Amino acid sequence: MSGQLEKNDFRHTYRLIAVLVLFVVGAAFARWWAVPETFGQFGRYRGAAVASARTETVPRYVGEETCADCHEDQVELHDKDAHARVPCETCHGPGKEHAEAEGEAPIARPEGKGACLVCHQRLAARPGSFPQIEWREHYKFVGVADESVECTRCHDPHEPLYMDRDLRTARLHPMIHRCRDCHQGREDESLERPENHPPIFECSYCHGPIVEDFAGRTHASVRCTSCHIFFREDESTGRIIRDADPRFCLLCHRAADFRSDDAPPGIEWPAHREEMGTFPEDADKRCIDCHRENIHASEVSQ
Amino acid sequence: MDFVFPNEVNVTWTVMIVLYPYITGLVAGAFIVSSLYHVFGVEALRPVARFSLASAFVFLLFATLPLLIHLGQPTRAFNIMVTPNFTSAMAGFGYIYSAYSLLVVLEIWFVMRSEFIARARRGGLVGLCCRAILLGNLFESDATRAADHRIARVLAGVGIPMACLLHGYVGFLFGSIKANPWWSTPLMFVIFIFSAIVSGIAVLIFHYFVVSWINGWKVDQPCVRSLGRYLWGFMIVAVALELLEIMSIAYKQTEEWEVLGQLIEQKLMITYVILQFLVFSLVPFLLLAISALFKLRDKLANAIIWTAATMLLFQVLLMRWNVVVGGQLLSKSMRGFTDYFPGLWEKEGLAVAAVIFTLPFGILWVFNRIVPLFPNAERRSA
Repeated sequence: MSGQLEKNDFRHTYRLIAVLVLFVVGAAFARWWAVPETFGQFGRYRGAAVASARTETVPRYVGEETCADCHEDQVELHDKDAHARVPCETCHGPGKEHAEAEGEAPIARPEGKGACLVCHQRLAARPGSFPQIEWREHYKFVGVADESVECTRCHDPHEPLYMDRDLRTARLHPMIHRCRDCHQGREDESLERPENHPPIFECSYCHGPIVEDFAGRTHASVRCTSCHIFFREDESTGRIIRDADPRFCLLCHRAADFRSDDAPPGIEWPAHREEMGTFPEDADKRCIDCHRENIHASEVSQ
Repeated sequence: MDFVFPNEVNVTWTVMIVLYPYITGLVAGAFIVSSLYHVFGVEALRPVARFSLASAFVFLLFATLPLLIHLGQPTRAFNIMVTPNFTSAMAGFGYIYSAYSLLVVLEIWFVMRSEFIARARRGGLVGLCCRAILLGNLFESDATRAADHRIARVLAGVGIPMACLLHGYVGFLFGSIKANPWWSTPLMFVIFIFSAIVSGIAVLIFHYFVVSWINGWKVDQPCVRSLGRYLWGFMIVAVALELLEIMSIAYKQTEEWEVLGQLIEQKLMITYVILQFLVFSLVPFLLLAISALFKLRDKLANAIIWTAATMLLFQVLLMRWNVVVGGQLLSKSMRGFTDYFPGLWEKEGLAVAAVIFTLPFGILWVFNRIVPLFPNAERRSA
């Protein structure tokens, strides 16, 4: 098969070469045909896109004030609670069409855990002061056995913590650090503080008697900040809540079919309150009015 | 809050992006085996020379499918070809991939022209297709065969650097992402080339044995032994490079090690340390060493080589997983990690990945029906 080859021996490749040439010509033609005229005018994009974007893009967001025109109640709830700084359209999406159609056009109502976890999934990059969870851990903590249960079964997105007073005017408190603020999310990190840990700000430094008293109460295994949630405002301060709305207690204690056997004691609500008394003065009673002894003694509470 | 949280809820480069360098590696590796015969004249590899070329071709057909599935707007994929931006690494890949595809198609055309002619002469629909592939010219003589042989040899020769470039380029895509300390190393290109060769040889051994077993053929012993030795040699280099890379970072104790050490310790302990190195590198290394250094009975040697090749297929897959997914588990803040595991039925899930990986084998079966890839296979004596 070796030996000198002549030009004729390559004749069968001529058509192949012709096809290849056609391919190159076709590619050049395709490029000429497919590339918009103004491509590359300003950069690696269609130059005319700038002008068309100017005319086509309309502001699709309307802002909370417009939402409040029709949804005053929800906006009011939202503004005093933990989501106060989250604009309506962050969850509901752009509302221009919905607003212009006076509610006739649909607006997004995000569903599923994913909608909440976009912000609240525990991530290393998020500052420790931002509320974030591993949802399975959280479900275990509050005794939710059924994993299909959605966050909104307990938390109303418009007032997720059912604050009984406005977060914006809640008590100012010096910065409370969390382990994660300094310790880079090590998974093997224990919640127990090591013995040789340098002393840092402790609840007991200022609230000694309360902390001491609390250690003997039924809620002793719950950390102070599980109920007195701290919202950071700047480098040194934040606001701390003291929530006595019954629905706040019910986040852990509401009896439901999705609760696990080892869930915190569950109560039927509002049947429980009705059972306790029908006098008019009982109508507005809060959990803490009867169950204070489970948390803090009345004489040390402030 | 004065800053925006990085979106680390979703790991965007899914198992599809694991599959993409994996299949591309198989292409490059299989092609290099075929070139060992066509260019370097390794006669022992003759029985799998065509098979390896055809394997390279079918994997090539599916190398970018995972990318298309990954894209939200797959039709825009071609924009990087039509309006190339040469500062974009991915655009560069588009060109290298296209040029390489053309080269493989041409080489197949020249290497298998005689077989296509024979099939075209038998007529029928397949014959007609073969005639179309041959562009209607069925003329053949000793001289044309010699010409084809010479052209194929040139193409195979040009193909070796291109195969290296193709897969080195996939390594480049990762290695040049300087913001990610798990990827950003110049060694990444070299590691990808060698792991590609390992996976290419491994898939050929794996498939050759399976095909022979199904058809009742006798495997060509010198060929298998030779492939086993090549596999051994290339896997030593590949694994050594992988180890050197991590040892270099660990020894230098650069600031990246603070987080990379944790990544290996916490997130990649199973897939990287235990599976990739301790199980799927060490065991095949020992198996191939035994088969290469000791005189074993054919049957035992074959079993060992096949087991080692299959394990190395997993080793390279694990390596791709650990690179692609491992790099994304790092928080962009370098303070910790996120999690990822693909679902079974989702768009970019495991089922789709399994289908994509199976398809090339199906096409290869069809290819073999048209042009026999093992024309000289002997039947196994009973």
